[in-house]
Amino acid sequence: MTRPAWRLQAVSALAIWYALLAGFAWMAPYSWREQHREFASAPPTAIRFVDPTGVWRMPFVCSLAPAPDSPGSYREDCAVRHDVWLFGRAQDGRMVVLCPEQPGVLFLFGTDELGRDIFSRSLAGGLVTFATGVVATLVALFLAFLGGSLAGLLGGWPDLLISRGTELLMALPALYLLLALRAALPIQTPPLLAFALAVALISLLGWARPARLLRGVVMSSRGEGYVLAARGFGAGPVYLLRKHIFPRLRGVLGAQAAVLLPQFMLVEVALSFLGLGVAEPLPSWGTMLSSIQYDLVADRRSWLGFPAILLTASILISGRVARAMELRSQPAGGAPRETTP
Amino acid sequence: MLNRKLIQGLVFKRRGHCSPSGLTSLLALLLTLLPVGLWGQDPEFLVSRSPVGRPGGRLVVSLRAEPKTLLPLNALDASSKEIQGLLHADLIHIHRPSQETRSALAQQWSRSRDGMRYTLRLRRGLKFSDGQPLTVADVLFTFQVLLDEAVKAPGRDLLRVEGKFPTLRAVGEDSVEVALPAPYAPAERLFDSIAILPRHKLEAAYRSGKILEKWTMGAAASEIAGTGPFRLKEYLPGQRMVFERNPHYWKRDSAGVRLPYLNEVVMIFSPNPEAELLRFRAGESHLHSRLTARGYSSLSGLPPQERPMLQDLGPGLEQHFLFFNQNDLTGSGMSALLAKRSWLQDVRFRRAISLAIDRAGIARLVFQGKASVLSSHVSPGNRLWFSGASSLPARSVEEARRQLKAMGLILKGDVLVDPSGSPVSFTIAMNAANSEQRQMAAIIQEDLRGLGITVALAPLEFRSLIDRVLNTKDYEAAILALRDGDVDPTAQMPMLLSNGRMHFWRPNQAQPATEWEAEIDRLMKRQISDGNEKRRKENYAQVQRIISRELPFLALVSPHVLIAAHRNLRNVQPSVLAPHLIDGLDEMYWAAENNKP
Amino acid sequence: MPATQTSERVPGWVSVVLSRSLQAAVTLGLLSFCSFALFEWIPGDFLTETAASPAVSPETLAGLRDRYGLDTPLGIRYASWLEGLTRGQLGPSLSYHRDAMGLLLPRLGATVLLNLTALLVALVVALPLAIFAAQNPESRFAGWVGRGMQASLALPELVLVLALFAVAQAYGVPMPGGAAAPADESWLGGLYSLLTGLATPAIALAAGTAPSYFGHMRAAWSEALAESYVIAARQAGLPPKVVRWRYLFPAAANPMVSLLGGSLGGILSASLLVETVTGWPGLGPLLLEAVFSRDVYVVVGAVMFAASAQMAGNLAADLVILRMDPRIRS
Repeated sequence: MTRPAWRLQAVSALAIWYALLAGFAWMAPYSWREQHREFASAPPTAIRFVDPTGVWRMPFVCSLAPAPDSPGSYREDCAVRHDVWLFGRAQDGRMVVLCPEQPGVLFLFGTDELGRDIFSRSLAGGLVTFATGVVATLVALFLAFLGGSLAGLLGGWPDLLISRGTELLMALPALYLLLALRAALPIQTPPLLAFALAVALISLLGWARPARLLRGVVMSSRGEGYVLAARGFGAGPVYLLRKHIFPRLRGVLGAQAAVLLPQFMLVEVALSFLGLGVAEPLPSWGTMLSSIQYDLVADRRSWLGFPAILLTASILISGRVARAMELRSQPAGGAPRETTP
Repeated sequence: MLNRKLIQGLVFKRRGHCSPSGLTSLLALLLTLLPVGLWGQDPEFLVSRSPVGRPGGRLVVSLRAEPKTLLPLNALDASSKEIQGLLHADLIHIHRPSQETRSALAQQWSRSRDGMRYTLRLRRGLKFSDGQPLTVADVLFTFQVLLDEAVKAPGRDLLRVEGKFPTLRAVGEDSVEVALPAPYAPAERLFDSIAILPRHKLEAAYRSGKILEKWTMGAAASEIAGTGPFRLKEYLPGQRMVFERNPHYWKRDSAGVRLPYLNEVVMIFSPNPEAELLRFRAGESHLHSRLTARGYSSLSGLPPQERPMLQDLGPGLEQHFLFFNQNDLTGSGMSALLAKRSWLQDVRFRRAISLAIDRAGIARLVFQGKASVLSSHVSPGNRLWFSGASSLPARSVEEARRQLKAMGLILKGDVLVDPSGSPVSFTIAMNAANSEQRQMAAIIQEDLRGLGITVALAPLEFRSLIDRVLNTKDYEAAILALRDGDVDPTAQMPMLLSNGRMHFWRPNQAQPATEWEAEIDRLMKRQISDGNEKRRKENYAQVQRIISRELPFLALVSPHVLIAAHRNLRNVQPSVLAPHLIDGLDEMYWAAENNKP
Repeated sequence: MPATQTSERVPGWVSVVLSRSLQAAVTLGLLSFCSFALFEWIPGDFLTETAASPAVSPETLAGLRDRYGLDTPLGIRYASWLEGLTRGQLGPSLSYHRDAMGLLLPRLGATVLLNLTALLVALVVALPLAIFAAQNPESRFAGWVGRGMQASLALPELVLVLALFAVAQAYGVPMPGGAAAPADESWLGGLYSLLTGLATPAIALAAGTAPSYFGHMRAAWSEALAESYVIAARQAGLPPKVVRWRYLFPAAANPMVSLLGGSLGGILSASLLVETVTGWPGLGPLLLEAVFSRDVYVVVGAVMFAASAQMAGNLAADLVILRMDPRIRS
C-alpha cells in the first residue's frame, strides 16, 4: 500500500473509532449517572436466545432479582422474559442501542458499587478521556509550535533560553502544581472545568519534546533557498512563520498530535490513579480503572476491566496513525514510547 | 528463675547425710544473696488472664505505611504508634477489647479523695529490653521530657487538664505521685500509650537539647530500649522491620511462662490494600486489621481448610459525616457563599437534607452492609458511652420537601429555588483519596437531586481539604471522617466545644454563636470534673440529643471493624479500639508447628 | 568528570561536556529554587494534619512550626539548603526527623534495581526476537512477533499492572508488588521474596520498553545485513556465527547504545507511577507521600536526583552520537 493511502486508512480508522464511541455513548442503554441501587455490583446480564424449555426465541433477557439470602448476588428468573431490541426506543423516547423491554434490565458489562451500568459509563467515560487528551494535545502543540519555531528561527540566546526552559519545565513535579491549581480555583468551579484546567496545566509542562522536534525542522528549513529568498525580500519572522514555515511543519504537527493524544489520555489515567482525576459522578476511563484494583483482587469481578479494553484499543489505533504519519521512515514496531509525566 | 533453682538445691542438700554447719548456712545465704545483687529478681509479673500458649514462632504483620520514627515523643502517624506498642509500655493501659483501664507498668494506683492526686506504684524488678532496670527516675524523666515546653513534644497536650499540666514527684522507692491541676474524671486513661523512656539512653541527648533527633528510623537497634513485649532487631528501609522477643518483659501466663510467646514479629509495609490482601491470603502475612467488606467476603469464600479466622466486630469508632459551612462569613468577600447563607446555615435545611439522605443505602452500597447507620456523633461501637437516646427520624423525601417549602424554598419545575429565584445548589468537598467518601457523596448527590437540589462534588487532596475547612473556610459543605482514639467523651472536647479548633462547622468561636452550642459547652465542661460515672453518662446523653436535634453535622455511617487472623493463631483478641489486633501480640501464639523462624 | 585538558586543541567532546554541565548546573539551580518557591503555593503545610488532631494545642502547634522552620522566609531556607548541599545534606525530612539524603538513598537503590531489572527483561526478550525477525522477515512468526510488540506498546502500564494483579488473584501466583518478608532467613528466601516483589512492576515496565528495543534492533540488523562488507564477508564463505558476532552485531549495536543512554536517563523517573501503584519501595511512593505530607526537602531532593539523572542520560546519549557520527564531531 502507498504511504498516503495507509495514512488515510489509519486516520479514518481513528475517526470511525471515536465516532462509534460517541454514537454508542449517545445511544447508551442508561445514563452514566443513573443509580440502580437495587442492582448494585450486578454481573453482566446474559442475552439469551433459548428459553428454559429449549425453544429458540428472539433475543431476550431473564428477569433479574436480588438474591434474598446473600447481598450482592442476583438470581435470574427465566420464566419471566424481556425481549431485547436492537436500536429500540427507551421509555423516555431515546433511541437505545440495545433496549430491554420494561421492566427488564440489561447491564452488558455489569454494574458498579452504586448500581451504575458499566457499559454506559465506559462509553461516556471514553469521551471524557478523549476530550481531555484532545484539549491537552492542542495546548501542548500550540505552545510547541510557538516555542519551537521561535527557537528555530531566531537561534542564539532565545534558542538556548527556550531549550533550557523546556528542560526545566519537564523536570518540575507536576503533582504539586496540580494541588496548587485546585486550591486557587474557587470551590464552586464545575468539576469538569477544574479537571480540564488540570490537564491543560500538565500540557503546559509537556510541550518540551514536540518543541524540540519542531525546532529542528524549522532550523533545517531556515537554510532552504526559498526562505532565504523571502528573507532577502525583507520578510519578517511572522510572515515567514505563516507563509513558509507552517506549511512545512504541518506534517510534523500531525504526527506529533497522533503521538501526544494517547500520551495525554494516559495522563488522565495516571492522574486518576493518584486520586486527582475527574470528580464523581462523571465517568472517565482513568477513574473507572483506578477504583477496580482492589475489586479485581478481592472478588474477581473481571468485567470491571471493560474500560481497559477500550483504552488499549484506542491507544493501538492512535499508534497506527502515529506510525502512518511519521515522515521519516521509522522502524516498524513503533517509536520509543515516552514516559508520561 | 535463678533464685528459685538455688533454693531447691539447698533443700536437696539438707536431705543428704551431712548436716549443715554454720559455715554452710552462711555460704548458702551468700549464694542466695549474690544473684539478687548481680541479676536482680524476677519482676512482679503481671499474670495474663488468657489461656496458656506455647512459645516460639514468627509472625508477619503488614503495616499500611512505613513508620516515621521510633521515638514515642515524635509519633504522630498511625504506623509509628503501632510500632510503639510493640517496643514500649505505659503505666496504665487501656485494655482494648474491654475499653477499660488495666494495670501495666504500674502495679497498682490510688486516687485521693478530691480526685486531684494519683499515686502509682511501679512493679518491682522491671527492666528495659537492654537489661537495665526501670526505676521511678525513668518515669520522672519521661514526664519531664514530655512536659518540657522546650522539647515541643506533640503528645504534651494530651496531658493538659483545664489548660494546665500535672506535676509528678517520687514517693518512696517505687511510687510516683501525679498531682492534677484540677479534678479530671478520666485521669487514669491519660497514662495509656505514654511510653516510659529509658533515662540511661536518652538523658544525654535531652540535656543537649537534641532528644527529638534520637531514635530516628535510621537508629541502630542497640540504641533503643523499651519495656514492650518486643525489641527492634533489624530495619530495612521501605521493606520491613524485624522485632525479637524482649527477654525482660514483665508479663507471664498462668503457668509461669514469661511472655511473649512469639520469638519474632516482622512488620512489612504494604501501602496497597490489594497487595496486603493478596499477601494475607497467600499466608505471607498473618494478621489483617483493615479489611474492607469486599476483602472480608472474599476471605470468607475460601475453602474451610484455608479460611482464616474472621470476625466482624461491628461498628468501629470511625464515622463519616456531612456538614455545612456555618462560619460567619460577613466581610469575607466570598460572595457565592454569602448568597447561599440564608438557607445553608438554617437548621431546617440541614434537617431536610438529613431526611432525604439514604443512609441505609450508603451502608449497603458503599460498605456492602458492613456499616452501621449513625444518629449522632457517638458510634454504637463506643460501648461505654453510646446512649441510644438520640434516634433518627425515618428517611422521608416527602417530609424533606415539606420542610424545604416551609423555609421558602420551592420547586420550579425540577429545580428548587430560593426566594430570590436562584437555584439551590451547593458543592460537597471530600477527601479525593477516600473512595468510600467519593461514593457516599455520589449517593447523596442523587438523593438530593430528587429534591431538586443540584449538588456538585469536589474531591480535594486531604491537606487542601483540611486547609479549606479550618483555615480559609472557602467551602460550602464537606464530608469528613473522624476516628476516635479513645471512647471517653473528653476526647471529643475539641470538636464539641464552641471554641474548639475541631469544631468543624464553625471553629474557634470567641463566644458560642448559638444557644445550643453554649448548652453543649456547659454540659461538656461539667462532665469533665465529675467523678460520678452515672451523672457523666446522663450529661453526655443530653449532648448527643442536642447534636441530633440541631444537626451541626449529619452523622452518616460508621464502618464495621473487620479483622482476620491466620487460622493457627491463638489468643487473638480483636478490639474495636485501634490498633485492632496487635495490642494483644504479647499473648498471641501459634497452635501448630508452622511458622518457626 | 574528566579534568580539563590544558593542551591547545581541546577535543570536541570535552567542550561539549563542559558547556552542557554548566548549562545543567544552571538549570538544576533554577529547578531547585522553583521547586521550593512553588511549594509555597500548595494549600496547607506539614502541620495541617496535626492541626486537625484534637490532641494538639495552638501553643504546641506554634512551637512545632518554629521547630520545623515553617515560617522561615523562603530565601533563608533556600540559602541554608544550598549550604547543606555542600556538606552532602538535602535538608531535614519533616516527617522522618532525619536528613532527606539518608532517606532517599535506599529508595534510589530500589528504583535503580527495578529499572535495571526491567531493562534486562526487555533486552532479553526484545533482542533475540528482533534478530530473528530481521533474519527471517518473511516468516509468519516474525509477523506475529511484530504485531505482538505493537500491542504491547499500546498496553498502558497501569492496565498491565491491573491485569497482573487479576492473574495473581485468579491463579494464586505470589506476585504482589513491593517487598515481602522472606519466608526464612536464608539468602534463597530473601531472593525469592525480592523476585516476587519485583515481578509485577518489572514486567509492567519492560512491556512498555521492549517494543522500542525490538523495533530499533530489527531495523538496525536489517540495515547491517544490507551493508556491502557484510555481504562480502558472507560471500567470502565466513561461517554464519562469525559473520553474526564479528560483523553484524557491532554494526547493529551502535544505535542500541544511544537508545540505552537515553533510557538510562529515565532510570530515576520512568518507573515512579508503576512503583506507586504496585507498592515497590522506590522513589515513587516516597515522593508521592512527601508531596501529600508537604515534606518539602524530600520532594526537592527527589526532584533533583531525577532531574540530574535525566540530564546526565541526555548528555551520555549525545556523546555516544558524537562519537559515532564524525560529521558532528568537528
